[in-house]
Amino acid sequence: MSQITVAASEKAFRELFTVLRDNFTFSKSDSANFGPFSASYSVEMHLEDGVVDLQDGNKVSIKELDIKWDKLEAGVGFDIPEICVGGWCIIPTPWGCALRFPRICVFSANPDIGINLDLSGIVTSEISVTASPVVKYRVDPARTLGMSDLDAEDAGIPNMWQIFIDPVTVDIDLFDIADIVGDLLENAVKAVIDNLLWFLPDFVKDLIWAILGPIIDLIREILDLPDDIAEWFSNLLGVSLGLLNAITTVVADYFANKYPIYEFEDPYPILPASGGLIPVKIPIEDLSVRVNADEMIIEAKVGA
Amino acid sequence: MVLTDNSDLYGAVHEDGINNVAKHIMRQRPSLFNYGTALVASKPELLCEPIHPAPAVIQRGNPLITVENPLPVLGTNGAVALNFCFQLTEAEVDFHPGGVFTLPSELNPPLAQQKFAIHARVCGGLGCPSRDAVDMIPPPPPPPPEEQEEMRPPPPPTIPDPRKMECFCLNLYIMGHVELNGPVGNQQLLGKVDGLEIVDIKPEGLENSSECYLNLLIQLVILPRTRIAIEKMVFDILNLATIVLSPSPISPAIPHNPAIEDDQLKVFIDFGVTP
Repeated sequence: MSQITVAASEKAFRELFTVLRDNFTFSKSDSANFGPFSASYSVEMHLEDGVVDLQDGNKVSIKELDIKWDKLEAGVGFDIPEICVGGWCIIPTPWGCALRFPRICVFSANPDIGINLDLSGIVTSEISVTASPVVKYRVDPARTLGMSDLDAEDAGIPNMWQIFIDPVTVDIDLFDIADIVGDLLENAVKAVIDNLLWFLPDFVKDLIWAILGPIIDLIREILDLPDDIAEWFSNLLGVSLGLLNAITTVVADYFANKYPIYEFEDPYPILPASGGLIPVKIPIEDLSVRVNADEMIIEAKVGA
Repeated sequence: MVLTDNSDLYGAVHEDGINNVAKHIMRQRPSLFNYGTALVASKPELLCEPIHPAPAVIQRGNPLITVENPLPVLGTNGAVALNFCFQLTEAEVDFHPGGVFTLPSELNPPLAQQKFAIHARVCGGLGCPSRDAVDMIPPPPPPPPEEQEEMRPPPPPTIPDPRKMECFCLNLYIMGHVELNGPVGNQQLLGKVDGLEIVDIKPEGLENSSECYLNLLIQLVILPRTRIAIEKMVFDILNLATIVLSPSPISPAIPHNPAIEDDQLKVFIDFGVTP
């Protein structure tokens, strides 16, 4: 029987997820110049929708989390070497050139050719992930057999309990067609109601929107059906379907195995070293993390 | 069984876990539990009970004993003092329904619902000199006039060397409960003493006086220092969200919070997340 038990409900996870999602934003822009070639990008995004679901079988899933690209601009530029013709003297005189042929230069600008792609506010990506918490115990390879726990701590190589998130399936839709079309349709209908039907009283506008809104949602749902089926099937098999998703899962697996989401020393210090006294540390045994449809449970024992 | 049926978070610690932690602290920080004079520190064989420290304590040269001044003999103006030692040699906790140890009859065993019990064994010893050694102690000088007393430091006391300590050991039992204390918004998990018994100490007046003193020591000093502030458990996550924990309110579904049952101390906590 475990001696320390901590459990967190699915409701707690959902509340935390909602606040994290609503407050998460990301923006980055950069540019680089490679001589005749230059490139730049600028992105800003926020998250919408999505739901956290704890599942039997030690799985946590985040379903259909939308990445809304508020700014998605990319540009490439090509700088072609300047070419100039003319400028030579047509009527030379002893006192200098009386008339010159006009000098004409092309490709003088930098860059000469620029291609800019601006998909800001149009594109929505969608990500669904199923993952399992995994507990590992790490003994640093540099730790020798004769080393005590204190020696290992002094050497900066204490044993560690580590909790990893092991991605089981990852489903990424770079272009979430259902949401993109849904958003465009929604914006178009709202524009029509606000601009063309401006003379109508507000309650009539609300009534029209109340009728059309669910139809747009239905269209959104229908467009999303193929993706929903693929995600359901992927979750059922525990395998990411599609080349991009398979590659993403492998990459996520690689990083997830390298970086624990939480780790702590074993034995765990409960009283710090002070005044030459050694720290008081307690050994933690049988650490486990398990998930069922209702909650996540962390259990451990204190070693004798 | 769903642990979080009636709360967002649930935490429980088993009595075996607490008792293992207590043993680790006593082995790794023995100077917190063993007190004595410099002589006792240099001759640990004089202690009433041997200390079993963790190997690292010896390897790192940590003290086994916190050194205290010798106990002055009253009326000698500090000229004569005795070696002594005081040790807490055992400490263990038992949650309802009990079973780690047997309560004395004065505390009405078995352990009642929602109660915890603590057993502690304390030993004390006095370095009593032999009759011959007492005869060798010079009579204490008369107290100096007040003006001289301030200017001249007192001479070191005569501390007769004992061959062994006169030791006694007592078993102390405490029964209590845990409650949430303090105003809403600043609640703390705090142990409360419901009964205390020192076994086999006579006469009754000495027993009652000792128990009265220990009860005050535990209620006013030890337990307040071990309280846990639940409201202050606030966590920042990625600077995006702040989690604030607060005890779940008492309800038919949670009749006791904290609860002492199944040999565990259980806490039901509600969870608030703010940006």
